[in-house]
Amino acid sequence: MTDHNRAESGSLMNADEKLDSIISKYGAQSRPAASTAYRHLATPYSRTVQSDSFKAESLQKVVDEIKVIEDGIKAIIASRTKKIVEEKVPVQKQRPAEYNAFDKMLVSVGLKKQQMETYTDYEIVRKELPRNPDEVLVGEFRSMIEDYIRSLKGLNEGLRETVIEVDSIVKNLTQVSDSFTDQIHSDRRAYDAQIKYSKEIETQLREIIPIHENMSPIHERYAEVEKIRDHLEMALRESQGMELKYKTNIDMGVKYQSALKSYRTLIHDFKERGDIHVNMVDKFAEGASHMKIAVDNVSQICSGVAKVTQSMIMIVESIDDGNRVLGRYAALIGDQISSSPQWEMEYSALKEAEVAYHKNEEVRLKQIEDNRQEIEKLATRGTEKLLPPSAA
Amino acid sequence: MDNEIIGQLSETINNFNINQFVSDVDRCIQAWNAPDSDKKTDEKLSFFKKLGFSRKPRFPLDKEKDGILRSAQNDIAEAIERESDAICSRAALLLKYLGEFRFVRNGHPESDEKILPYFRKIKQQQQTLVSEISDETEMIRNIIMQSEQMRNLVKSHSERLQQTAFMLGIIQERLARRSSAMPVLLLPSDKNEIKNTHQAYHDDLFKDSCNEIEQRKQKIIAGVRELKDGWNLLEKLLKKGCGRSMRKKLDMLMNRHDLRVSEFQKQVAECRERYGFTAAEF
Repeated sequence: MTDHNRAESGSLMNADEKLDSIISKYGAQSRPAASTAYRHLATPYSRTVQSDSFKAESLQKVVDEIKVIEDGIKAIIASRTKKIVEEKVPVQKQRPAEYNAFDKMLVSVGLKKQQMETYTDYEIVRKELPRNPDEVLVGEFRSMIEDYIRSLKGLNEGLRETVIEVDSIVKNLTQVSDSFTDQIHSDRRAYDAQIKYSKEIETQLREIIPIHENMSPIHERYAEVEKIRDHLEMALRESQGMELKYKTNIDMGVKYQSALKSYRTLIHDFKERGDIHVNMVDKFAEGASHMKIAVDNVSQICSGVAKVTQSMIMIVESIDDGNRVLGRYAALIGDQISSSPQWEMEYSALKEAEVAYHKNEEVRLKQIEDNRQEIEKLATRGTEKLLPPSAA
Repeated sequence: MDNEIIGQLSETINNFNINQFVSDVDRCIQAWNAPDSDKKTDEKLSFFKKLGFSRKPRFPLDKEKDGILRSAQNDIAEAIERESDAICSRAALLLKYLGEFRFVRNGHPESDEKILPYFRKIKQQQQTLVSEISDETEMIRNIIMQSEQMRNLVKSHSERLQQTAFMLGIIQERLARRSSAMPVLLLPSDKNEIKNTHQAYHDDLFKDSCNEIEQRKQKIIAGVRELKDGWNLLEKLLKKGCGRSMRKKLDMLMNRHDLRVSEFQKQVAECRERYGFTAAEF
C-alpha cells in the first residue's frame, strides 16, 4: 500500500513517512486480524492526510493595524468629549422644626418662636469627568461630527445671508455713485451755460457803462439808463454768484464721489472675504462628512476583517481536527489490523471522534457562511457609501 | 429823500438776523463730531461673545435710541434748510428794495456831486454784501445737505456690516481652533477693520466740509456786520450830509468794498479757467 502511494504522489512524502512510523509503532504491538470492511477505507484517507501549516500571522498583522486605527479614533473622541456623572451629595439644610398642634398655635399667635433645625438632604450634582478611550464607541464619532457640522453649517448660513446683504450694499453704493456722476455732469453743463449768460451780460454792460458815465444826471433818460445799468450789474453779480455755486457743487460732488468709490471698494473686499469664508466652511463641512463616512468604513472594515479572521481560524481548526481524525484512521490501516477489544475500543472512539468532527464541522460551516454573508453585506454597503476621504 | 423807503430799508437791514441759522449750523457740526454710540456697540458685542453665540444673532441695536438720535439729526437738518431759505428770501427782498432805492428828493433826482458817488457806491456795497450773504448761506446749506445724505447712507449700512464682521469673526475663530485641519485660513482678521475705515472715511471727508462751512459762516457773520455798518453810514450821510469824519469812514468802507469786489472777480475768473472751458472729464 505504501509503495503504491509513494509512486503516485511525490508531494505526499512526509505523510507517508509519518504513516509508516505510526504503522510500525502499532505493528510492534499485537496485530489484530484485518477485516475487509476496514481495508477499503484506507485508500481515500491515506491520500488526503496532508496539509501545510496555515500562516495566520499576516492576517493577524492586518487586524492589529486596524485595531491601532480604531484605538486612535477612540482616543480622539475621548479627548474631545466628557462624560457627565450624576452624584448624590449630602448637603446641610435648614427647615422649620415640627411642632405639635398646641405649639403651632402658640407660634401663629406669636408667643413661641419658630425654631429652625438642620437636616441632611441629598442633592444630585452633575460632574463632568474626562473619559477613557476604552469607554468610547467608534460610532460616537459619527454623532460628534454631525453635531459639529450642523453647528458650523448653521453659522455659515447666517454668514451667507449677511454676505448677501453686504452685496446689496455694494450695489446700492454703485447706484449712488452713478447718480453722483449724473449730478456732476448736469452741474457742469449748467455751469457752462451760466458762464455764457454772464459773458453776455458783461458785453451789454461794457456798452452801457460808458453811456451812463458820459450822461449828465439831468438828461431826461438818465434815470432810465442808470436803472438799466444797475439792473445789469445786479444780474451780472447774480449770474457770477450762480457760477461759484455750481463750481462749489461740482467740487463737492467730485470729492464725495471719490470717497464713496473707495468706501465701496472696501465694502466689496469685505464681501469677497465673507464669500471666501462661506466657501471654506462649506468645503470644510464637506470634508468633515467625508471623514465621517471614512471612519464608518474603517469600523466596518475592522469588523469585516475580524470576521474573516475568525472564519479562517475556524477553517484551520477544522482542518486540524480533520487531520487528527484521519491520522488516527490511518494508524489503524494495515493487514495486521485485526478485530480485538483494543481495536474495537479504538474504532468506536474513532467513530465518535468522526461524528463529533462532522457535528463541529456543520456548526463551523454554518458560522463561516454567516460570516461570509455579513462580509458581503458590509462590502455592498461599503461600495455604496464609499467615497475617497478627501484631504479637508 | 423818501423817508418811508429809508425807514423800510432800515427796518429790514437792522432786523436782518442770521443768528438762528448760525446756531443751527454749529449744532449740526457738533452732532457730526460727537462720537457715535460706538462704545455701547462694543459692549454689546463682547456680551454676545461671552454667551458663546452660535446661532445667527439678530444684531440688536438700541433701535429706539438710535431712532431718536436720527430724528434729532433730521430736525437740525430741516431747521437749517428752513433758515437758509428764509435768509435767502429776505436777502432777495432786500435786494429788490435796494434796487428801487434811488437818490431822489421830493420825486426829483438829486445831483449832489459829493453825495451821489458815495450813495451809488454804498448802494453797491450793500447789494454786493446781501448777494454774498445769500450765496454763502445757500452754499453752506448745500454742503450740509450733501453731507447729511452721505452720513445717513453710511449709517444705514453700518448695522449690516457690523453684523457681518461679527459673524465672520466667530467663524474665523472656530476654524482657527481646528487650524490643523484648515491650514489655508491665513486671511487678515481685523475685526475692527470696518469700524476703523468708517472712522477714516468720516474724519477725512467731514473735516474738510466742516472747515469749509466754518469759513463761509465767518464770511456771513462779517458780511452782516458790515452790511449794518454800511447802512448806518448811509443813513447818517443822507440825514446829516458829508462831514470829514464821515468821509474817512466812508473811504474805509469803500476800500473794503473794492477789495471784496476784486477778490470776487478773481475767484470767478479762476473758476472759469479751471472748469469752464475744459473738456468734460467726467
